[in-house]
Amino acid sequence: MSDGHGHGRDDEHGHRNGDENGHEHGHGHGHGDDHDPDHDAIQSRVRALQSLLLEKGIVSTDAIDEVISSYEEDIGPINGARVVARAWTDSAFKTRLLDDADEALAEFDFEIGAQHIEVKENTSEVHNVVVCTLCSCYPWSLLGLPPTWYKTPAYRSRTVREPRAVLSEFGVELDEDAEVNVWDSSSEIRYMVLPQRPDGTAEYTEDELAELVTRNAMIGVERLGSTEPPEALADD
Amino acid sequence: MTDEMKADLDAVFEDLLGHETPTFAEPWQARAFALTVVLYDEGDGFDWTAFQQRLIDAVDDTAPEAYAPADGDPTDAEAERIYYEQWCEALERLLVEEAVITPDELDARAGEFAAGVRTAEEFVEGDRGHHR
Repeated sequence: MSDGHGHGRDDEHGHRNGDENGHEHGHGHGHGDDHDPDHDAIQSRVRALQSLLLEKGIVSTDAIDEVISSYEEDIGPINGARVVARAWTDSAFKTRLLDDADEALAEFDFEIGAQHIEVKENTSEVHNVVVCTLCSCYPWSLLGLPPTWYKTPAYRSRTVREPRAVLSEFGVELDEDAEVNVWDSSSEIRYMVLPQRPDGTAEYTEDELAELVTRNAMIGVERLGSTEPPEALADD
Repeated sequence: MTDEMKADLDAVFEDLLGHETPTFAEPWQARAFALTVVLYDEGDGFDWTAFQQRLIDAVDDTAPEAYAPADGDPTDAEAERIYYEQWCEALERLLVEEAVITPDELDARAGEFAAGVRTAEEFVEGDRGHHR
């Protein structure tokens, strides 16, 4: 397939080294400006892809719109947070979750898709953090879209090389003898961290607990116990 | 990679650290992402591993300086754009290599959108019933 790598993409990727499009370009690149030639080019290519796939009957517009709206509105870290809250309140579920997450997650009403999920538990002695060194694989069905920093070369490379330094930049300070495990989602497996349940939450319901769980805690760049006690408790 | 470049990349990361961009920065990014998810969920044998390999290649092919532009401060939108360009490149390569689409028809169709002969209105539900 001699054509596969060359067709029409080089101009977009190489646009910092010289614009082959012949467009006028009196301003900066790619900052979302509607009149930016680079922006127009990529937009046209994506539309062309969709148009061709629709024409061939491979995808439907309804399905695409549904995916867009569900990722923009419905799927956020809330799915993951519900899973974490249940694991905190139901030890049998937690055991199943850590043992075979795909099976345990089938109990929920959201779709996991064909991603394989593994869940890694944080304890006082062990801290887990998730990265994708090669690209940006992420457990979308549980956490929604990845934050921008997750996709940066610095996070991808430094998390493996110096996880403690990276964690410290996120405000996570670990004991020197704590074990740090870095899980690289470079295979078909997507990892999610099961954070430690914060102290002082014994009276919380599953729903209340879910509200405490943050996306960053499930990526492993935040420890929930390290913050102030929830105000709900202080008020009581 | 030089130390200076590494410092630049680290600075980009630190700049973006406090930002929260949970949704797509541009509509075309949402479209590219959703196309891939639909192909995977509903398509006939979409090979996610093959897609991922091409995404890895596209990430590898991106010059490090692209992440730390000399002509301006890095922004969330810039980082997202780079990422979804890599994503689109991976998707195009996969579809072409698996002969789902040809480079020629893709170039031609993209040209029609760029020229305004076609617009995103063709994706509006209920529009032009004779189009599938």
